[in-house]
Amino acid sequence: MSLMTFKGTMLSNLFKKPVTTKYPFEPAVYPEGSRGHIEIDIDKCISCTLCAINCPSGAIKVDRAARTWEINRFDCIQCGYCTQKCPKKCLHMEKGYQTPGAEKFVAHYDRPPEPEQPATPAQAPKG
Amino acid sequence: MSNVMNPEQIHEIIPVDKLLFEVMKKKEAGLRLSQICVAYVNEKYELSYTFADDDTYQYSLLRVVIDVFQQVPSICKVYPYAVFYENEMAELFDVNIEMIDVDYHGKFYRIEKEAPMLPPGALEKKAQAEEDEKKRIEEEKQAAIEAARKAEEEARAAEEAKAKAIAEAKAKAAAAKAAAAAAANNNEGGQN
Amino acid sequence: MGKKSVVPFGPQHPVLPEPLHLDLVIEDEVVEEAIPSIGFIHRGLEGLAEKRDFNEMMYIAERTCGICSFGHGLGYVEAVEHIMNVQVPDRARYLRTIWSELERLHSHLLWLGLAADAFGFESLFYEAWRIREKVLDIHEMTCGGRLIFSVNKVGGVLRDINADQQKFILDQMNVLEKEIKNIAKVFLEDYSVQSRSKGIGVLTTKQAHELGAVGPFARACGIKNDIRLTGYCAYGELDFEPIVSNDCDCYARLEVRIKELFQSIDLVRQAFAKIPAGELETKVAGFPKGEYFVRI
Repeated sequence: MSLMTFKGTMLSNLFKKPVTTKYPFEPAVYPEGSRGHIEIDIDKCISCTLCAINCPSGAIKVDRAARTWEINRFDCIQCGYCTQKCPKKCLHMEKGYQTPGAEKFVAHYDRPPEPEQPATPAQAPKG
Repeated sequence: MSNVMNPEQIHEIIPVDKLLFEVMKKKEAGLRLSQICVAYVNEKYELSYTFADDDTYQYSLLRVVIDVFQQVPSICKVYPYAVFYENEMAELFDVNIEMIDVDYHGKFYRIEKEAPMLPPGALEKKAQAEEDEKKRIEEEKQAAIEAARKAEEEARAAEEAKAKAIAEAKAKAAAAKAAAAAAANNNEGGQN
Repeated sequence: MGKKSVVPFGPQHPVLPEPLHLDLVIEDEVVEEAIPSIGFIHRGLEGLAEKRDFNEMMYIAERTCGICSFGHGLGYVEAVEHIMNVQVPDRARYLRTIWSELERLHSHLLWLGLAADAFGFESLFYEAWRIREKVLDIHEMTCGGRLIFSVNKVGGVLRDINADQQKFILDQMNVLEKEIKNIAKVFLEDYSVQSRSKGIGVLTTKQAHELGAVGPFARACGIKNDIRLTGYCAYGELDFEPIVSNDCDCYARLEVRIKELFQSIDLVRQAFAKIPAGELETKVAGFPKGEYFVRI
């Protein structure tokens, strides 16, 4: 049993700089591989809707006809299941969490329009 | 290497009237109640009481399959901390458990829906099954009363018949005796 | 005789005791009864398991609790693997053990900090949580999340720990060992901590057995029971003894958890020394059918 066992730590802490960062005045530092938010490489997307079907929280919405991909980053729970299910591997996780806001909004991505098909021989006017 | 102890789990299926006895045997062996859970399968409740041995790491399971309207006794007198599991079962699955030590009567968790873990329509089926069971018990009771009454009547009729037979036999015997006496008198008169 | 009134107190959520609501029956400023309402953390996740895909359910099972999230995910995944007869590769088993022990480090440091706060030693509370931040940084570097790991999968694990990360973790273990020794001295030898914990809150071995105590709490009451000795994941191949104390009071609980911190650091070092190279997961086909009970 001893008295004032904490004095060593206390005195050395008096002369060290604080461990906390002055966020938001200094930027937050996240390590590589941190699961922050989902990013999509929209050119590779084929609108198969597997990510939307398998999302545990239902944050992803895919419109096949309109060729769009939407995610509600406030509903996303950053589990990464969609990145495993995507057959074209166009989803990946980037570091950096969604900052708080007054209302939830949806991040919207459009696929590039379908390239023009060349006219097939059957359609060429006969004759 | 640390010595690994991983014995196989023991599963036993027992009828509900043996439940308290088996649980007391587990308590006698020094086992700790691990958890109680319930599943609603094929319109019956399957209760699983699991016990753990802290020395040998043996895990054993008692499985009780009951109809939805059946009463299950509480094991709180044997393991006091079963209170939590049994209140939860009674609230979320509407299992009929009687004699819980601290009975919250469905107010353990503050939830809006009654028996939320049952599939839709199951509560009505359970109410219907309880009604049917009550009717069946009533009918059986009535049938038993009828059978008893009939048995009594038959017994009485049999007794009356027996008494009548005895009376007839007596009368016949008396008549035979009188006839014999009269015949003897006649003989004597003839002789004199 | 005053009038009795009922004051609803809560629901409050201090971090370690999960949310609790008390109805206080008060008569003239003296609390006569306190009727608890518990179960706010019960969100029907077991019922949700009936409706979701069994692979997706792992992410939901993990979110049962923030402090022990890896344990919940691991328990679910082990049960499904046992039902489907899936053999997890060796490297995945060792990785799961390492993450399990890292989670134990963070959980015990959290408890020790809150215990220090409970007896009023706030600087010690912050010191313990400052050390815990180092462990959470390791979590984020290897799994992607500080408290919710999301790194288990039916059949194996999703991420690997490469050689650089392994070296970093082992260096951090040395740093952590030194810092934990500092606060261990305060927890175990300081006069004011001892006067607030020795002989306080005694739960005898017999009472602990009657009430079904488990985990470090039971080990501090003299019951020698450590589920890691059943050899799940890679614990069968590591060398350790359960830490038991016979004192049954608050001081014994502090002591057991601090010794388990050192034991966890040792287990992480042992696991890294023995981890084999290899696959991370086994392919799983079909759906699970059956039942099994897993203890973690």
